[in-house]
Amino acid sequence: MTGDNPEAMTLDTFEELLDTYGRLESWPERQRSSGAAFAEQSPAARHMLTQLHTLESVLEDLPVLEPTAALRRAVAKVPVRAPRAIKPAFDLRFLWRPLVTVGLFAVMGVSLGLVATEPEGRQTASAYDEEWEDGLALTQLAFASEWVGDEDDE
Amino acid sequence: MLAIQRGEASAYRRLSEQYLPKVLNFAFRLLSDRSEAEDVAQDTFLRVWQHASKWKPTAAVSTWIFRIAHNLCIDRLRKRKPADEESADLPASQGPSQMLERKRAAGAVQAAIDDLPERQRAALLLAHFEGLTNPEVAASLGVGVEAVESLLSRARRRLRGQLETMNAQRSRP
Repeated sequence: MTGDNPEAMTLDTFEELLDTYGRLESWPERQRSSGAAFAEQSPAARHMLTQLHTLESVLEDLPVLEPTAALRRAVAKVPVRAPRAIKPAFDLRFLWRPLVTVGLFAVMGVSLGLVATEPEGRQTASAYDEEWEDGLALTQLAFASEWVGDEDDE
Repeated sequence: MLAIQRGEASAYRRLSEQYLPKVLNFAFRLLSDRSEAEDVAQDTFLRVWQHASKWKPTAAVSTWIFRIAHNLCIDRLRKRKPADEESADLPASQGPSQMLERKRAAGAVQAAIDDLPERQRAALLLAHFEGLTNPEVAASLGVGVEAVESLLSRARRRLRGQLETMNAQRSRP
């Protein structure tokens, strides 16, 4: 296809573009201006444009049907005539994987938070571990009576 | 469409109200028969509802709907016997002479459209009346963009030529 040079465009090219894309406004951008310039110089090209415009105006005169009320009702009733099961917005069967993934990341995030570089004043990971073990031991002592009965008085 | 895929009837009704006139007129201009066009319109939306799960978000809703309608029209055209392919089911032309002339021209153009090969006709209807771009027409017809450009080129050239012939005949003494 020709570029923006109107002298490079021929009547055959102009006609091909006109028939392929219709009005000049619908042409590919790179050929639009050269097509317009060519039409200004060529009476034959202007005649083709007039033919196209006439054709389009006649097409606009073709009858336009309005759907009848009966047709509208019939189309609107399709879901009633052909009911389908309503799918929930979230299908729980497919949620377990993302939930597990989120859970794993949450655990990893907590773990990484415990071993990350701490600003001054915060406890180190080993200190957290010691506290955790102390807490665990205390918990075991607190609940020991439940396990060993009256023998534990600590 | 996503709501329709979930089975929401209200979403379906909104979509069908929007596209029913377009589908009806597309089918009518392709088939030239109102009764058949109404049947195609009903079948089109029945399939839109029943097969909503087949629509992919990568495709425009309009091209998908017109593709369904086009396929249904093709089925009917193929079942027709040659004797059944009559001229357009047009309303009678009445009124002032200028309007009568325009109606006559419209009737001649309708007849010329009816004479177009089916794919040229479908491409022209979608491009001109529905304002679809060439890629959208291609998606609706299930062909490539270059094929659509070729179809439109041949259709418009043929109609321009027939209109020119008609004008030349009218201007003869």
